[in-house]
Amino acid sequence: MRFEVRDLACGYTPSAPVLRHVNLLLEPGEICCVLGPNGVGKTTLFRTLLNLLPSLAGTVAIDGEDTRRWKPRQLSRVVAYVAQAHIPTQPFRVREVAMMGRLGLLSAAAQPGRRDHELVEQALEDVGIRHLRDKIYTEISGGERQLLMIARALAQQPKLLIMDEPTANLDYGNMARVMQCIRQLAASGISVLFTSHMPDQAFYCRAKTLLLCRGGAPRFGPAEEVLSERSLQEAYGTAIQVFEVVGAGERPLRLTAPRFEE
Amino acid sequence: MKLSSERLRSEWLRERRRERSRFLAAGLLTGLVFLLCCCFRANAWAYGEKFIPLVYLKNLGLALRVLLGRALPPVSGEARVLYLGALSRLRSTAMALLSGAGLSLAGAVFQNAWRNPMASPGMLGATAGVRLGNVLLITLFSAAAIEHVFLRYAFCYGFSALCVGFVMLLGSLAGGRRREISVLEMVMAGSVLSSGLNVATMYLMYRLEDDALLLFEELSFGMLEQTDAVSNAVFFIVMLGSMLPLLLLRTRLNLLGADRLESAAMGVSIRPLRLLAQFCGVVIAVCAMVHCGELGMLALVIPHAVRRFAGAEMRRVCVFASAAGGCVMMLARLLCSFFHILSEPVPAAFFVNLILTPLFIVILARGRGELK
Repeated sequence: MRFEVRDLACGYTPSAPVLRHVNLLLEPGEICCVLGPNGVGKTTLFRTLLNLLPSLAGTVAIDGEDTRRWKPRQLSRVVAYVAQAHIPTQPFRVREVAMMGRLGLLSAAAQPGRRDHELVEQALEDVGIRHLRDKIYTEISGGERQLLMIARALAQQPKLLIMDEPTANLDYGNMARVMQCIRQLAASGISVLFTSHMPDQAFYCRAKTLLLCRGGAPRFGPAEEVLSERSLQEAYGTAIQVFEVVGAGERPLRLTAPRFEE
Repeated sequence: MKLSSERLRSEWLRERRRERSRFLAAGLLTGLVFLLCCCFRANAWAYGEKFIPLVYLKNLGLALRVLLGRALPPVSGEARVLYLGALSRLRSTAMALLSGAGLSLAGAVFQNAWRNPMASPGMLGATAGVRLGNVLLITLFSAAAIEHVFLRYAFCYGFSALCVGFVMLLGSLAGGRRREISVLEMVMAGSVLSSGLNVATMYLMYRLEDDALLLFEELSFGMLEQTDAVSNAVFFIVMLGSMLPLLLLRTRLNLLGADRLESAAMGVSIRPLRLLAQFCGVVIAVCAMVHCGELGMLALVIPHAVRRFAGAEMRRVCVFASAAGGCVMMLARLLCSFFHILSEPVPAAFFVNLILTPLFIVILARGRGELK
């Protein structure tokens, strides 16, 4: 699957678009990290990509086909979404939450069948939380809940996974687990588009990066090219240093840190 | 790691068997309570509403044969009496079953859709509309109001529809530019509107004569069972017509709590589903109140009680809540037949609350903050 966004403008009024000239291209198994300051329009971009908001200009295409006229069900066969924070409503079991990913693919009054059960169990296994399948969803940890949301999205058998700040509010260990999961998904051929406030995560995943700046044109390309000290300062309005570390026997890894004034 | 297909298949079959047996047990239990209530109430009709359970139990076989049509045409004097009683009590018990089942189902749907454990269909002002419809009709026609069946339904359903429409409009306006109906504003609008209508209802109540006031109370609390053919037809059509979509869509109702972005990405347009669920829930609540009076805490407590033992999955909650609500309501109606306070009949809501209040206290005490 080839996911292409070309010269996209999105927002709520044509006279004042929130984002302009957004371009990105994802091939199967590629990861793209969307970075930018608060309020720059990341959620607006996702709403547009998921057809909840009409685009003001430009195209969103999957394998060359414009998705703007696609019905929700048609889109859900290709694209799945993981929200930033899922608010638990009722004490569902873990496997019941994962099964919700299949419901949109069934007809309105249909009950999930054997195939749905198999896909859900496999999705739970893939993200490593199948042992929690009978636990109450409100009683598992934040990291496990995030992995469950990914499993729910995987149950849709998507080719593209869109994730809104998947590591927000997670501790370091859970953040690492979610990052590892994203890398594994990409390795299995699923494209992943995720937002983050941590530029390091683009480097962890060796991802393509879409850097959104307030007032400026978005930059898109490999993280090593897009995330320079200058571009990060422009985007976040603060001095940020980019440096390279080399672990024993490992490839060099770039990291970022704020540059504090003495 | 790829899971074994055989193992998953056997797991699925086991779970499906377990679920089917639970559904079957719920259906059988509800059917049993229905038959028992019909038998007892038919016997009570024949024995002047006396509480003599041993006699009724002895007559159980005969009453069952009558109910199942095995004793038709009536062969003995006792069977004939039971047959006449059974016919009227059968309809009344079926109304109790459906109103209890419908209200519990509507409560479960509203609690999920509004992400609020206290939500109930009455919060949109519909029940205040029914009360106002009743009191206006009685103000216009006094004690003869009961004969104006169609007009009564037009008043009650009409005022409820107006109230709910007004509250939804306010919620929609409060939702701002995106027209996403805001639950909080809708609840506030519902409360304010209900309070305003209740003031009007109370004003009209104080102006009623004694016999008209008594009629209003009997209608409001469901002590005056209207089991004529027209009332029955309206009740069964409206109630079944509103329950059926919810029962058919019960698996999809799991998504009611999801936000718009999530549900769209899962391939479901959540707004029409949420509107349909709320519409059906409100119609059920209005129908139950118009035909059976106020029924107490069914919509609030039964869904919580069901979730305690069956989990939150709506496919199960809808079925079990309907069964449990129906059973509680039938038992409450049965108790109404036998027990009076100071020789005065007691509304079914009294027994419903008598059964459910201790249950709700236990749920709250053992909930460990689950209802937050």
